[in-house]
Amino acid sequence: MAQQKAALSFDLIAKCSVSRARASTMTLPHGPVELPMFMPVATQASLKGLTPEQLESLGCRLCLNNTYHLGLKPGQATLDAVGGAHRLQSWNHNILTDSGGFQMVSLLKLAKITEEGVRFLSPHDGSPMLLTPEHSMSLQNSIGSDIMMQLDDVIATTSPDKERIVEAMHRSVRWLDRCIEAHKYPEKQNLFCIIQGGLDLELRRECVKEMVKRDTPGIAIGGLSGGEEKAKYCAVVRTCTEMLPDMKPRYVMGVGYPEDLVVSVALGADMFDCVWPTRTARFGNAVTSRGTLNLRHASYAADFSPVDEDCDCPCCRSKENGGLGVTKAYIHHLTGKETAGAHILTMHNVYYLLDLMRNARQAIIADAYPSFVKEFFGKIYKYDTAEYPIWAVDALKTVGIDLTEA
Amino acid sequence: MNTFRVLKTAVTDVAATTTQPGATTAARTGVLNLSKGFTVQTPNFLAPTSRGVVPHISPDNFERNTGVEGVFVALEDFIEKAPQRIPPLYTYPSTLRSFISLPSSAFLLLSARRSPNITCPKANSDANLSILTSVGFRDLPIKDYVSAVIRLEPDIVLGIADIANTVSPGKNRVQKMVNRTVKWLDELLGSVYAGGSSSGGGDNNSTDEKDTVKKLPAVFAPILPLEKERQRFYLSHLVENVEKLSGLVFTTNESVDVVPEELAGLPKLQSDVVGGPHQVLEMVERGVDLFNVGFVGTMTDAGIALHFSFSADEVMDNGGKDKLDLATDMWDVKFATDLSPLEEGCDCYTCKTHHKAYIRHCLEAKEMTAWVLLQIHNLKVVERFFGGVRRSIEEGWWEKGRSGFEVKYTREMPVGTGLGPRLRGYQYKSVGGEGKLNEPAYRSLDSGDEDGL
Ligand SMILES: [Zn+2]
Ligand SMILES: [Zn+2]
Repeated sequence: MAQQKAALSFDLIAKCSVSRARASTMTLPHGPVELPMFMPVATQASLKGLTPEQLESLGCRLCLNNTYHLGLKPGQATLDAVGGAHRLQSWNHNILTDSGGFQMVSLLKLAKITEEGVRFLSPHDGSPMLLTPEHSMSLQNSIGSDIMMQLDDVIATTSPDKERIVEAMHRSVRWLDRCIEAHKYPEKQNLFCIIQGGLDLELRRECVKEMVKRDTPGIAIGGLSGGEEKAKYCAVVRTCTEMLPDMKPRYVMGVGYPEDLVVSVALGADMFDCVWPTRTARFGNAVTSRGTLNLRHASYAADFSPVDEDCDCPCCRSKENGGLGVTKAYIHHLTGKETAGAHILTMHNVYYLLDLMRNARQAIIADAYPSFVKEFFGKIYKYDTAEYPIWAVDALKTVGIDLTEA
Repeated sequence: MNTFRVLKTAVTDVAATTTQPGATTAARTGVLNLSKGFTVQTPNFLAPTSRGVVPHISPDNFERNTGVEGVFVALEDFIEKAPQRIPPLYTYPSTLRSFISLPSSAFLLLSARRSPNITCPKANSDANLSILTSVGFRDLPIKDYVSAVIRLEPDIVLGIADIANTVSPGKNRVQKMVNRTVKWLDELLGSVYAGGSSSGGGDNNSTDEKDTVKKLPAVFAPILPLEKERQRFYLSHLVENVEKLSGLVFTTNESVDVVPEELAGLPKLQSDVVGGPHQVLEMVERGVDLFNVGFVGTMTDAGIALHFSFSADEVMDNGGKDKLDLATDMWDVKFATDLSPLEEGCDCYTCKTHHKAYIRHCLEAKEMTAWVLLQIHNLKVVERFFGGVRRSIEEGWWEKGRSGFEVKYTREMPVGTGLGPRLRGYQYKSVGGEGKLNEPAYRSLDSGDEDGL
């Protein structure tokens, strides 16, 4: 296979001496980002009411846009006229886009996959349309994302149809070749491949081999946000990272619960994205170091403490320390009634996840990741090891971290 | 102490005064000093809030990206569970300012009700004001308001007017209005000037008396929406108490004309400005100093960008042709690829950073960011407008500026064409029995992400 052009450089800074956790710096066309990292999802080139200035102030340097949504609104012609998504949303940092395929399959009940591409009915007028690997590349080239994803054949990992899973894996490889062929700007946009293969570890291994041969600048592990058992999820991630080259970034798609992130980092993953932390803010859910709190609950109506006492985000930080000093009670008061309530909580949730990964990185560099993981779980479950999720305990054990040992 | 000083009264055109001695302008600049350290140059504006927040503006954006100097906060936004349950705000150990994370740069005005507000079906009683909370109509005991004022430490507090539900109340109702408003104001003044000792804060006795006096909220007394004759008794009561008053507030434009000479030195607040900049200018002309600018949020929610300014520029009157619009509907498809700012030369965050195409995209995609960016810009336009008005009076070109504005701009605001953000309870104009306020956010095809708040 020919050497692929890359528009990024990847520096491995440190490796955990116990687990597979890695700290690295990836330099993209719009600047460097520090891994491991969480990437918030600005689906339609806007993050739930936050301005790009606010997102930047939280320390975000790489966010997602969804190709499917931008293809509909504002549409490819407008994107071309405006000069891409960075220009559209005045975001001078990095953007990652998905291929649009996953959105179609998950949002459009009538999507049908053939060798040619994904067939679906236009949500505008119901007319039949087709998303091919070539079309996905063309859209992502118009968006101008720093990282673009190949179109893959996505099916739920929970699908019982073994044959279909095998077909999807092989088709994803073939579609990667078509994507590489159709990609117009490999020197300024990075195309990542996506490893498929369901929960079948042998199939995953086979897929990794094929994908790695194609030498894309980064590698994603796909098809894992579909409600599969956590233990199986961990086995897939572990199986893939084992075979992946050290010197490429590894992105686990669609994963965003704090516990999943912390465990996946130990298993050797570097990048994560998920709509959950931002979508859930609108319903008053705060992601905190002590678990997720639903601030709509009456018990928070007169709780005048910050959303997370350990959080240093602009909302939680006290007025004395230059923050806004927002209380749980005030968010309770605003949730579902004023948009600004969602903005405040979105800021906190995004900051929390960005900061969780920043702290993980510091811990890896200090070669203290195992104790970081223990403290993280300890805080959520008040150090009651009997409460720890078994899948996490087991998965961490496979990489040398024993949560139950003091 | 809360003080107001008139700095300068606008100079009237000499020719006009000689022919019509009565036609002097009452436009003036002033400076309102509030006891907690705010200095407000007038004429100026307050931003209306909903549940303590300037709609769409989180406190960090407020501080970083607006020049808002004061906010109008309604107690009815905080007390839905009363009296069954004590509202959290009442148990909060600090001030209302702190509860809503209001930046220290802005003063806080507390009112019992929003302005404008929804008329309640139930009439007020001697001891209760009818209010609308997010869970329905309720009674607000006047004594609760009075004690809340002490505890919440607003910078300005509005007295409560007993306003009849009918446009032209009869003689008995008017008498009741006057008597109740007198009584309610006396209760408020009594409590404020007792240093709040009636609120149960018994450990305040040792506080230096001078200090306590210094930090009293400024009480603005309401002027009733009645002809001068019909509220004569009330007005004379205000005159008797002028020493204790720091300002006047009214909801109808006409009310400003009933203010007696003895009260002319007080700052006047029009709390219900829905008509846009032309209404503001008319009221400045009649001597109004402060404006609660409700029209700004209405425009923002409709996806409309304001763009008007008050300047000394020479304006040619060509008989009403070629008038400029005050604002533009950003939903218009013609902005889809327009990379220019909302207003050329504007120095607000939105205009410095974003273009029309993005704002139009966010509206179209129902992304909340659209309203954030519009609100930041619209507030900046209003801030600049009031700056222009103050300068014109100081520099002696008020009348020229006003007539120029009249000639330059159309009167009407554009009507929005697109969908606004989710309607909130206080925007529910009718009483009961209607369908849902909002269409369901989810549609069958893309049921995930396009649900604005
Ligand atoms: Zn926080
Ligand atoms: Zn602007």
